[in-house]
Amino acid sequence: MDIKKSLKDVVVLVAICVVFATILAAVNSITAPIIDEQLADAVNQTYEAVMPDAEGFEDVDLSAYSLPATVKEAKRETSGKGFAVMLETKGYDIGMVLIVGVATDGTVTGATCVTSAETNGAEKTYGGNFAGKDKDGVLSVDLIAGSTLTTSAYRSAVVDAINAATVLGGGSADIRDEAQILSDNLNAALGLEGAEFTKVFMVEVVAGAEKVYSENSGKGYVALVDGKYVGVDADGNAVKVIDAETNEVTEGVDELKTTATAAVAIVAATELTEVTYDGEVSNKHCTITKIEKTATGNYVFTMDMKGHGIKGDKHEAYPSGKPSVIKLSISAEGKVIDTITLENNESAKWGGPYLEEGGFVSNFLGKTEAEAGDIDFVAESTNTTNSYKQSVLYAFEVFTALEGGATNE
Amino acid sequence: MNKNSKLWIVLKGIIAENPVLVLVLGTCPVLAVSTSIVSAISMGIAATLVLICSNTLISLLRKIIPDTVRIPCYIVVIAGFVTIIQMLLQAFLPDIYTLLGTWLSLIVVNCIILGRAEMYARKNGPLDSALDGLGMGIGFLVALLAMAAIREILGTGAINLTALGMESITIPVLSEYNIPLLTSAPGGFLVYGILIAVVNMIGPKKGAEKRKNFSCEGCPSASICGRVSCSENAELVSASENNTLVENKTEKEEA
Repeated sequence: MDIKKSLKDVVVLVAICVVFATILAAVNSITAPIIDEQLADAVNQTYEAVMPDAEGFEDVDLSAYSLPATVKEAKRETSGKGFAVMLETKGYDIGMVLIVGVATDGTVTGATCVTSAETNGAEKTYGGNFAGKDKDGVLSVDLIAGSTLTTSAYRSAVVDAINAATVLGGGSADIRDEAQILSDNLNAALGLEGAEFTKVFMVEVVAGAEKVYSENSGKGYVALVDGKYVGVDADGNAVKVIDAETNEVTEGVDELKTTATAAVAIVAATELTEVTYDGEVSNKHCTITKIEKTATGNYVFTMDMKGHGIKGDKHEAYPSGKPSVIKLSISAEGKVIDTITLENNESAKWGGPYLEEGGFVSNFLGKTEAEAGDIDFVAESTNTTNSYKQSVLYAFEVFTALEGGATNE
Repeated sequence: MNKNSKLWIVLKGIIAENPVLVLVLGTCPVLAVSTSIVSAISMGIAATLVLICSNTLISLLRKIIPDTVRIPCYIVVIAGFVTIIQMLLQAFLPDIYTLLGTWLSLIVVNCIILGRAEMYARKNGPLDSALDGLGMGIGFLVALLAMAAIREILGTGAINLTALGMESITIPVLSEYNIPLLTSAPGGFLVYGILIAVVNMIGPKKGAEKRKNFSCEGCPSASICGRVSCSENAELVSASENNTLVENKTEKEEA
């Protein structure tokens, strides 16, 4: 190798880079202030757009306030008409930056999306739905079908803006997110602070209780009965009843306590026995990895679900290289009691959200085999949702075989 | 016209070796940006400025830049000029900057610019190189403008001038009876194909004969091509029944 020649190559290339870096720095020193000024003007125009009556804006130091995490910047209208709040939230995709104007009476004066990386584009025009609405009005704005995650995030951000404006104006507002509210309600029902809870996967039909949560260190359970959180301690005694809306103790609810203690007693007493099944446990959509049974004749199926990647009769590829793990319980009467996704390996953008609680999987709750077969899969997530549906039907097939009936085959 | 004259250097880029309609280079930005006349003109001017500046500088540095690192050097020079134009547009013509979007940055990888640096500027003086850049730039601009005019006027029945702070011009009749297909990607390909066909038809020679007149200077594949020149291609093919092209080249050089 000719070292001298190589050295010359390096020197020439570096020299050209240095010269251009210098020239670019010089040009940047001229253009940067102008560009910054233009960006500031653009932002100010947006602030004015969401509060048309504003006479001017002044910056607010947010560090002195406890505000929702989505709030990034706020400006006070100089004549005291309200606040314009900049928020950053995540909807379906990367996220979006919104500016929301809020008048002193808590009504929205305007909302607009400054930048977004959402896919549907609904966020560009969605802001018009909120003008003139207070917090209740905002919460009643319809989400846009096909853009549910984006518009839901947008709506939540507008609520955050109203809460932020209330706090900045000297008032008080509940700025907790949904997870925090749930955690607070569960803690309050058991008279605890900072305890962590896990939603119980139901394997028995429990009358009256919509959901049951267990305290992770074994201090008790909380049952959601008729919209109220009822705490039941480790000894099976009801502790408190908390209203889900107001987070306040509600008196005189003996019936709720009775329902909750009965539900918790059933949950706590449940034992599962593993079942051996000699038949086929796999098809192109799923593989049953574990079958358990309760003393009351209910079955629990743990399955590897092959979702995304189906091509023809084969599942050729998964986003993560492995199937998702799902679990469902079927009552002795042949109805789905509960569903849970233990490991979600579907695409975060497409199939993944449908396997989460409240998503597509919740459509199967309480359904018989025939009813489950009638559930339509989701068009934009065909592979995942169809595989989930077929997995549920396969579990029913094995359930029928275990109970001594003929299989669908 | 004397093919060594300064005027010919400029004119050949506009007509005989039009980079878009004859050499079929820079197709991607042409199809993307030609939906509006304003963006086509802006893109054409930006590319022309980069072509002139990069051609001139590369020509000035042609004896300093070693062959082995010439492509990285050219890319640095081109990227430098593109960034300068980008910053200036963002500062002083923000609407045009927004209009061109990512295509402005992508001038860096426009094969017309790198092609002219590699094929012309590194072999010729700064004045000729600047004129070549000017000609090729105008050729690029003319082709873009022709496509944009057809696509925007026939496709929308109007000329959108809002990026210039002016009101759009609505063209009577066409505003009601336009062809929206032309504004879409398939429409772009359709117009592009028709324009190439028209240029081929009215050009001095047609089809395969015309290709014989191409010099290696305008060919992006020249550096990897084993032929002496396209004009001698037919001769080479007939003579290479038993020999490879490379062998032919060697024989010719020896001769």
